[in-house]
Amino acid sequence: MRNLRGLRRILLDFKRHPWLHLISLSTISVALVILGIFLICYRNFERIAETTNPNTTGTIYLQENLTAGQVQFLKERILALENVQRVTFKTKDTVLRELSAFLGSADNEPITPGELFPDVLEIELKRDAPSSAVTILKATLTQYPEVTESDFSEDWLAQYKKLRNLFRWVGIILIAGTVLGCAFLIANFMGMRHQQRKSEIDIVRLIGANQQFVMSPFLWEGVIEGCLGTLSALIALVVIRRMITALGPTEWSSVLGVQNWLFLSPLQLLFFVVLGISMAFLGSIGVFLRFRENVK
Amino acid sequence: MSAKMVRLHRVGKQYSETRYALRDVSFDLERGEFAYVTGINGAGKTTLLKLLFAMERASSGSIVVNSRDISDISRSRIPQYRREVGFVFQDFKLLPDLNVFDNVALPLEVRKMTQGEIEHRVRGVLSLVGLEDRRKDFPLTLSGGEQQRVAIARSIVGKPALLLGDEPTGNLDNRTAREIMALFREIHTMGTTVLIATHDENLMDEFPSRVIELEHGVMIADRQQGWT
Repeated sequence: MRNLRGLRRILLDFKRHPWLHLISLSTISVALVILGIFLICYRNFERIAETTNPNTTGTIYLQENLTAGQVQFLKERILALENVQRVTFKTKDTVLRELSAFLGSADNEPITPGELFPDVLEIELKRDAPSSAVTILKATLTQYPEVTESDFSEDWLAQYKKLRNLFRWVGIILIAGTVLGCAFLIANFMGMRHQQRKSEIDIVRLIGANQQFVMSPFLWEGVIEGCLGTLSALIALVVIRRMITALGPTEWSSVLGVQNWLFLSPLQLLFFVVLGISMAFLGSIGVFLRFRENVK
Repeated sequence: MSAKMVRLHRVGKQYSETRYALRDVSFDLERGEFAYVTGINGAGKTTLLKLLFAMERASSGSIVVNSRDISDISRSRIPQYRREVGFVFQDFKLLPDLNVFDNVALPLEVRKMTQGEIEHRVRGVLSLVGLEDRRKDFPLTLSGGEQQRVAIARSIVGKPALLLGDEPTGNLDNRTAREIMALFREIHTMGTTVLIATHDENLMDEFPSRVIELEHGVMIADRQQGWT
């Protein structure tokens, strides 16, 4: 019953200052929607990266006229090297067929295999292989007489890693900026409400209220605003995702190998909710610290 | 427990090097006593009450209220101390968004009393101040006298050992002021120590009691009203 009275006081303030509460709530919502869109993009980017196999791959061009036994021996030696996940032998005919299929040049003038391609070994490194592994491997392969040349996808991998790092940093900065910015804004809005209620707070202090009693409505208001702001942001994100799925060009989906855009993962959702409430709560704490002197 | 409710010993309050609000004020109040603090504007009445209510800190001297030395009371102990002392302000200081009942109940909520206790006590004091039938009304719908009654009810609902009033009749017409003062006297007869700051000579004559007179922060008289 006592808590109900406290809740009634909070609701009373929502009724008294609807615009200030609405602005605080909207700030949280907008910030979370921006963050949510980023998280959805990040999650889908990760999925695309998964489907396009981000492992480092390479091609080892072999000398002409190696016997099957020599090729097998070479394969085993390479497979035994550190960081090597898989080695596949492809004849020049196979390579040519794959190239033709990729170029769609089946009807074009046939390419003579002997003119362009030797037999190759396709090599795939382990996922956690360090970037230095490619350099070491290339140096090792030059010592094998069966190998004429080797070529790895380290450039693509480096680009991919750079992009991924960029995403991560953008994410971290976006989250930190959002949290601090929102907390600051919310603290200011709450501060305005605090100023409006200063006389009320003074009176409550005069009848023997301690800090906890004076400040608890502000903290609870923050939590309520955080919950409502998070809920409205989630609804907005669901709508946005549906719009993207409905309006997005289907070519993208086929190119990227993505049939539908994933929503936030359960972990992201949890993070999202905690973040929304934390922002509002931090705002409340900001008010508390700002007006601590007044509450003595 | 000491028989003295209030003991002030050479209490001074200095705001700057040249500005004194109180100088060497000393007096005692017995438990259950009724007294006025009087003097012209700027005499130091309000400052004295503020010191007694721990709204300000004395620059010198000692203040003991209800056996508790509040001269250098820590900030964390002030809320607890204020629950032992009631204060009635000239401007009532009611919360306009809360109705009469909730305004009076607030000190009990602060004390985390149960709803049953709150109901019982609030009904009791509202009956005492004659406002039981206005319990659902909001302060702005009440007259000045009624608002001051609510403020008095709020100040006594926690059964304070000491009740302070800073010009509690200052905003009221003569008739209502007399009614309010009669209410203070009634509360006093129930055993509460009461100290009222006022400059209304007529009221002090009508309700004679001990008078502590201040002038420019100095206590110039401590007499029984009606005596010479």
